[in-house]
Amino acid sequence: MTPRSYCLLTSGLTIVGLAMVASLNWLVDPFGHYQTRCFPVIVQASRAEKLNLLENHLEPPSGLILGSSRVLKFEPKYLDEKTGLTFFNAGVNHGRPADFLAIIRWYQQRWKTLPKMVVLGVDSAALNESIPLDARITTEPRLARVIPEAITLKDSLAKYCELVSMKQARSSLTSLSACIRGPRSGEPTEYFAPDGRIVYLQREAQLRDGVYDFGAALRYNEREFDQLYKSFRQISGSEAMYLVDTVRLLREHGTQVHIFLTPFHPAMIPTLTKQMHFEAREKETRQLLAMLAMHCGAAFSDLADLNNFAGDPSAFVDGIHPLEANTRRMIDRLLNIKGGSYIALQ
Amino acid sequence: MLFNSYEFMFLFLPLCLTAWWWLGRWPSIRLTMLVAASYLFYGWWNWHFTALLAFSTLLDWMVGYAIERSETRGRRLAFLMVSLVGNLGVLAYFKYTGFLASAVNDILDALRFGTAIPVPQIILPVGISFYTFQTLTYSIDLYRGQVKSAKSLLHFAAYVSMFPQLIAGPIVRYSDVEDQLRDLPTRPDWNQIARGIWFFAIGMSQKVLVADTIARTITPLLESCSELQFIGAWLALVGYAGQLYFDFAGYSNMAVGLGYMMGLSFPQNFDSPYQASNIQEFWRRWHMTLSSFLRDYLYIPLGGNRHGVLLSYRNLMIVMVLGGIWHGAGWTFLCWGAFHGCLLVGYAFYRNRVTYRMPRALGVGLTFVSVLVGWLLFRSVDLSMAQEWLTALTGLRGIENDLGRSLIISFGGLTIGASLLFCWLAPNVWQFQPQLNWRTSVVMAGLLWICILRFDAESPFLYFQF
Repeated sequence: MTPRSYCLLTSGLTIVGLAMVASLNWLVDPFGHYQTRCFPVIVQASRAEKLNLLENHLEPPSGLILGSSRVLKFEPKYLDEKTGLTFFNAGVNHGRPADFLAIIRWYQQRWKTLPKMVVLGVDSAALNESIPLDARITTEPRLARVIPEAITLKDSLAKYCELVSMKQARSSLTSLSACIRGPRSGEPTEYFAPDGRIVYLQREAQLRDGVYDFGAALRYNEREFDQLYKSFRQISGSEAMYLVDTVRLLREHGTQVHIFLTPFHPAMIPTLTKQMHFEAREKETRQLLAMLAMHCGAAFSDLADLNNFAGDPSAFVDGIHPLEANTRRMIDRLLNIKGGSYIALQ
Repeated sequence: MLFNSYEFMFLFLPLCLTAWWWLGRWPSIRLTMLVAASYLFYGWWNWHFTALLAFSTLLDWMVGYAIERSETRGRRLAFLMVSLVGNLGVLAYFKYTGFLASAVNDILDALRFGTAIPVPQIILPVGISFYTFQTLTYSIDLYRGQVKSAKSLLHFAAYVSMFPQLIAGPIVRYSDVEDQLRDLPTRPDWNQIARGIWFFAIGMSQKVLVADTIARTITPLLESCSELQFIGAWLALVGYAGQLYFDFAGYSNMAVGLGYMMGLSFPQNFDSPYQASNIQEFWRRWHMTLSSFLRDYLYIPLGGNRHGVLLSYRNLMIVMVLGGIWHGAGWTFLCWGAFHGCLLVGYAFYRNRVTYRMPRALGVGLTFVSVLVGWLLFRSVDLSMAQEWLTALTGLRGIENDLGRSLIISFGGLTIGASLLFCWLAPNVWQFQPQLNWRTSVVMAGLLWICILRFDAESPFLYFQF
């Protein structure tokens, strides 16, 4: 073999191999980045789904719930009863301040106004500097358009680079194997109700039947958050700024803002406190939120500890996601209902 | 920009290589393109620091110009001092200001004067230790009359900024590439490109498949250093030895491979260092371009071994302590340098005074253990971490209680063990002459393919922090 053909063959084989992986990932599209829709996505496209649900509203909801998957069980109906407003749960999976700002800006652009009240749940892990911008913002054009400052050229290209990533290749194979094992048209395991709250179909059924493996779910969260806090050396400056911008924008338009630090199941705490960064980052996040609330005239409640809202350890679906029995107590604590009148926590 | 990144592999490298060979007949345009591409490569991380690279380049080019035209030794020395002060001043400001301020504060604190100096938080420009040394070698070699001055500023800028070796070496001297830059190949030499692919693919695999895999095992262990016990502590130490070697040797091999793809030859930087049977041999095999820099520009000018045994020991200590501090501004690096200085002095004493020569295998084992102890200091964030790690290594905290960690350890131990066996028994990439057939082509393509798929976990090279 001549050196020239050797070089061409090696380069060619590498390119062909990568093209094959890229084709598989594009076709299966496990994260819903390319809208090929041939196979079910393995992550929830909650940003797009929430915007679609909001677009179904003729009138803008006067209250919004913002946050990560940890606020998805907040019931808008319960908040409606307590405040007399109409709420929508706009929480999204892996929601971070960039998402909150984008959703608020999109809301303002669409309805030329802002909600009267916002309940904003912040996870300290959402401020992790080492976690890049969620690709699901960049792949959702309605959000990407309103938050251009968060999206670098690298972010825009990330979804194409991911075509040749091990992570997506693994997920494609997972998605394929799930398709082979079960019928594609089967019931979804969870979905969003028209008011934006999540319904865990499968897990709630298992909970009712008493067959839910809470221990396994907890262990999964322990591993996940162990990794998350391991890399969490400092709070992301840009995420902190998006948070400030969100609250400032809302307050400038007279919106009542209730910020809270999201809770953990008590069984998670021993694992998390072993992590050298956990307590320091929680403390910094708490300080940041308290200062933000003080400067912008918002309310802040630290609900990280169940004792702060008389939470029930048995009302969690896993180590981080509270069920309705807890979210109601959190709402009560946030709104500090006294004799049926609303008093903002200051 | 990292070699192990999508933007480098899919955009920068193909465009750069295409332009490099396409412009074969126009050397000046070609070098301009190389300089521009290298500045883009460097500025991708933080474009502000390209000014620093330009400053270092301009300073030494002008100093070099002045040295060559100076007729008296005194004037030449004065110009050399300008280069030394300029380059080392920049390096000192960015690398050592914070350390010096906190060291002064520590001393004042110990003397009960209280903290006095504010400690500045200065970002360390990536690769600064490498390119300042490189430009210094040019001025010193010119002063000594060992090289001719660069043909033009463009030639010199291309030498300093060449992207393959810009950030973490090998430390290329101007004499290594002078002729190559003056007489650039106009047509691709496919034999050399094939060799470049071989070096690049092996280097990339060393970094992405071996070093990063080891890092996944040992980083969690070291992050909870205070909880480490005997087995975990040893695994972390041996693992770090493997990680550092494969990470740095991987980078150097990629740099050499990229050089070959462009028709340029760079010097070898690693020669199976863990196969060394004594500490002196280790330093001849580890980071060879730095070792030879320290020898030629520090040890020999200090007097080397020409003025008696005691002075040669002193020189060894000075060189190694400064070499330690070159790696990083911190007490642990200083101690690491001093430790290696002591090892070299001890070995020199043994060689001069003891007639017994130990079997090679024993020498390799002893050298490896000594180097491991050094890596403990090198990896520790501060001296208290080194102390905690050392306590665990001695077994004072027990053998291993945590079953979960034992499982991680047993899996990680296999990877680390296999990689170290490879270090000891296998020839290195420079000793192979790859066969140009379809089988090796498939293997190389397969390695590159797997490595590229792993680019999603961004992982900078360890030596970028120095």
